[in-house]
Amino acid sequence: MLLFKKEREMLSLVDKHQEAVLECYELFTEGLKELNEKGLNNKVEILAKKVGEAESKADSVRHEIIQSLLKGVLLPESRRELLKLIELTDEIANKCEEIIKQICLQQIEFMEEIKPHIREITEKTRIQLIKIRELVNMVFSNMTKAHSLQDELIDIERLESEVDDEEYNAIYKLFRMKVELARKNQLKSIIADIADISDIAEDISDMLEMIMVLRKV
Amino acid sequence: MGLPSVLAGAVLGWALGSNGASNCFAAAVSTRIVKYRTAVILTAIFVIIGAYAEGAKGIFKIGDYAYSSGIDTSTKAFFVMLAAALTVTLMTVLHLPVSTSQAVIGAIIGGALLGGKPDFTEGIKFFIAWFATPFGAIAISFVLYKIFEKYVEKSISNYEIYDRVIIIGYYISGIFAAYSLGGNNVANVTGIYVGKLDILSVKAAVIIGGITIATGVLTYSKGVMKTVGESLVTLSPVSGLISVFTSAIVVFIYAKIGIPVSASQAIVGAVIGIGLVKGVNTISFKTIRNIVFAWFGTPTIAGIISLFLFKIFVLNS
Repeated sequence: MLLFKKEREMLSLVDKHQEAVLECYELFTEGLKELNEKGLNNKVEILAKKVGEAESKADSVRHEIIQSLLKGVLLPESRRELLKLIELTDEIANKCEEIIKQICLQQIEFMEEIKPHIREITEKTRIQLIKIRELVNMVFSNMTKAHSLQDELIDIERLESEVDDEEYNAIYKLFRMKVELARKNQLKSIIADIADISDIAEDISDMLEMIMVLRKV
Repeated sequence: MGLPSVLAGAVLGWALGSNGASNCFAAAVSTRIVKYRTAVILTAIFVIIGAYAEGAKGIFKIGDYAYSSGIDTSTKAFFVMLAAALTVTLMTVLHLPVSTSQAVIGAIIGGALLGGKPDFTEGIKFFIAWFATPFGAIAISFVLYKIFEKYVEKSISNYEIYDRVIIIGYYISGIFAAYSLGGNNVANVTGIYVGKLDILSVKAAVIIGGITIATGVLTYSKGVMKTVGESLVTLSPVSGLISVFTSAIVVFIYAKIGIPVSASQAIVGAVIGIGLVKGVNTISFKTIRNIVFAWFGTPTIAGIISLFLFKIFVLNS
């Protein structure tokens, strides 16, 4: 319908942004996978570059969304909700770019005992992000159906809690290894950063829940 | 004294516009859905249209009521309207709840006590309408909200459609509220000058009344609009919308009957009705106190002021 053209454009941009962030995360996981399987090599650096490009793409979509919102589409409260959602989602892309950049810069490699935890953390977070994209689409296209997706929200929270456990176990193992304290701290910080993405995903799901509650008649 | 007498009505019209008419778009302006400038322009236009299209019945009723109460000269009409205008201004300054309709009837009765024959039998009809206003609003908003919840919510489950419905809804209900208010409350402003007193024709009364209310809206409604809006923004967008729409319906019904009522009290009733659906107590002691005060306090104060003005200026002249 022509009547909703501006809103449609804007909401398709929201989906485009979600897609760009998810692509950024997929490249980031691919980079970590490469790092864990073959060590720090040229391919990891290429993937790090691609993560940076995907982040820029997400960022430019974010700017487009802000420009769209400036046209005054949607209720002021909805604009505020959308901005918060976009900022949070964008944080994921920023985080991916920063982590992989630091891995390359500091030449970080994980010990064998830590690698399965990193794999689990990234896999669970990836599932969270896929669920979030579906939820975002549902919330914006059919709120009534979105209300029935409470299980998905619970799933996202459960995955976050599982990621926390993986992070704890990885750090637990790390600090019982015979390596220098400086390296332990360096790896601990990177592991925490990787796990943080799951926290952001949970924040986004909380935000979606809030949007649904506030819009319930 | 004919036209100068109308000046007192014009002052009351201005006060009504700056005070009572702020309800129409208060929630929409406070939530920044409608710009203040757009809101006042729309209110002013539709108050005039409403007054012109729906105001005659109320004007006749108030005119007849005042005349049969003994307000049969332009001087008496002047002091009745001056008393009402002073009451509204005084209570606004003191931050007390005020209803123009109740001030006008109170002033007519007060003046009639000294200068005529107060018609309490006819006055009962006005009193009943005042009491029925918030209760009617409770019932209407209860039903509207239930209907919305059951039939409309599903069809606006899309984010963009929801927003569009709310935005358009606020425009429509604001315009409807302004139209109803013009149609209903114009009688307060110029009704007393019409009919047997014959200072104004009905056409002139609705136009002058509408314009003076619109002037109040355009020049001095920002403060009240902000205050009313702040109390309504705590509601969800749908609840705010239904409150304004309900108030517009109630005021419109009374415009058709020809009895001026308070739009503010209709909104309060509507909010209570929504609270009943949601199982939330939206009735505070302050709310009840304000309504009861407006029912009894406003006409009493207006009556006393009118009585004094009649004693000093009418009986001694």
